[in-house]
Amino acid sequence: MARHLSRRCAVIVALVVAAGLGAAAAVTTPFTPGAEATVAAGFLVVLAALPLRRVAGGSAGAGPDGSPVPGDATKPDAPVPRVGYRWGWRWALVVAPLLVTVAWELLCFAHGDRAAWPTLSSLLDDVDASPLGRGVACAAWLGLGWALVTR
Amino acid sequence: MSTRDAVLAVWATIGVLVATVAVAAALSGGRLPGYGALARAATDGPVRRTVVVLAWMWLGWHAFAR
Repeated sequence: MARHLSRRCAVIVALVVAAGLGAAAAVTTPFTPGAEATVAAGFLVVLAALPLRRVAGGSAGAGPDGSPVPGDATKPDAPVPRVGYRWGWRWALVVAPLLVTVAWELLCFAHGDRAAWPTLSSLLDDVDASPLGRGVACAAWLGLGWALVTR
Repeated sequence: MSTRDAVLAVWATIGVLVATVAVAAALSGGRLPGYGALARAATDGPVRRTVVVLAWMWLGWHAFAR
């Protein structure tokens, strides 16, 4: 219970920090110490969340094929077992779009002409051009990092 | 239609594809893996997690500081 509450508090604090860093990022400019400090602060926040990583199976309930997932969320001190992934060919459904994204990114990058062949980075530059877009993108980046280290 | 318009149309199509997979996985009730499952698989183990976190750090640095 206490662990649950502390986790909830940590999430609330993280949201507030993400909003603050997003706002800070909105008013910074790349290649300046302010931008570097903002990103470095994001690193620290997310790395500080590493101890909050879930016990495997804590929220999943059952595995993808209906089999029970190893691990017991009621025993947070128990060793974390490795989860089996049994989707087989179904993984292709989620991997294929990412491979297409990478292939298209490389193709655009190889052309060199960013104006005619925009890459994801140049598309993100367009988003970052406005303070609002930059702040939202930074908050989304922090959220992604938080999800990656705590799930 | 300019080259840029065509490239942007492909990016939009890829975006729709990525979102469709996410929605399909969410609606499948666990029968299909989603990006969350992929992220869990990618971060299963200290080495993988370190690589993914380093990639995430590079992304932030590349997008917002450099």
